Amino acid sequence: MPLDRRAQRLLDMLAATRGQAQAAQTPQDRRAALEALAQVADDAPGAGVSFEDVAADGPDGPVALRIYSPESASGVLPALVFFHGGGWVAGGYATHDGLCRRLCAAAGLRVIAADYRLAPEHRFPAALSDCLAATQWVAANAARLGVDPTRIAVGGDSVGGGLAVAVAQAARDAGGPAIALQLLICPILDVGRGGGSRAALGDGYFISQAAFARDLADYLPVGLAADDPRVSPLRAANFADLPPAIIHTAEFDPFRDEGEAYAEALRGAGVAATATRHAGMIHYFYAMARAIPYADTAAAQIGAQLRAALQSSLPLVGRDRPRSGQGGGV
Amino acid sequence: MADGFHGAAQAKIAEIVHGLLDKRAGAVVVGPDQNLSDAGLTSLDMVGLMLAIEDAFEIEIPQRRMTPANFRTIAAIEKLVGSVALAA
Repeated sequence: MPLDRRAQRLLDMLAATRGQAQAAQTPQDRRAALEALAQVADDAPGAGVSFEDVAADGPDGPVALRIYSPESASGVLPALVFFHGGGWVAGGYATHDGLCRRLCAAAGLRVIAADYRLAPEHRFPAALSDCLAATQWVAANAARLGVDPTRIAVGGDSVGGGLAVAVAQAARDAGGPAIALQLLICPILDVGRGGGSRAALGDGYFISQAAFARDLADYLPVGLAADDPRVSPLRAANFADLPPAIIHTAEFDPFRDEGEAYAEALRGAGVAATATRHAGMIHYFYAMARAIPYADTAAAQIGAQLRAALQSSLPLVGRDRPRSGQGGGV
Repeated sequence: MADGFHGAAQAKIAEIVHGLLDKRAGAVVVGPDQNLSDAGLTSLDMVGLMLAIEDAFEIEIPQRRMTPANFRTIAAIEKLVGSVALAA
């Protein structure tokens, strides 16, 4: 399928701003540019979703969390601990508010977004350590957060997807906390990868490989190899005993192949994994619903998968099952 | 195009433009023929402006009409909106 007409038009419009984007070299500029893009390209959906800001205790200090909840639901719900994309350098509540709201409404669960520390001020392992601390804290405080501890998913988009997988692997290796599901949207899972979609779509498809290399250079500390599984979880030695995964990729995303390869690696290790490729779509399409209306369709689909996976596949550890019909709906 | 459409469309476009300008330059007022990037709109604001114009007038501006010239001034946008609406 060719590029989606609206995605193509957005790419052309962004290309016209390229002179400005290339000038945006400092981390502050890159953060401002992503926020400005979210402001113009996304909308503010999710009527029926409210949020509350809390702070989790982490080993290096508090980690700020934003808990999105469906207004129509109360009591104990499944949760998705969510890690945003933005190349480890940019992104936060403002850039992913629309996506978190859409997922919350469509899946009828609590979406708990983690405001992890960003590079280059904080290089690896700061982001991963915050994401792990956030997940542990949600599990430990599930009762007072209205979260079912047997139905906690981790997820993220772009580099946030890589953080989510690294958290799932760390939790498995440490014997907890229990993670019920991985939700990965256009994840970046093998940072040093070349060839395939990285080469074919390396320039002109929303994020260039040159821009990604700059982000990576800001995140990796001296001496850490790009194939270290904590930054490239697709390079892990063992995929057995990980939680099931729902993976979404975009046809015109340079990071498409690694998302699909992860699904295969999981299935090879006996872990249930589905990979959905969104035809005609680009990296980050899901967070630009105003410019690319298909993002709403995709969010509804992802939300329905999430809802089904977290409501049906797990034992009910003496808790009330969330009633059907809960959640904001879309 | 009819004068009624003309006046109402221009007011609507001016409102959107001023909403964007307020975020950048403060309360600047631009006339219909004033250059919008000179007034303080960034290139990315222009993308937002295109999308906002489409939402407001329930139109989809074809790729080939997305030229800087068509978004240079409020009057140019008004002309663009009129011709896209007529063609629909």
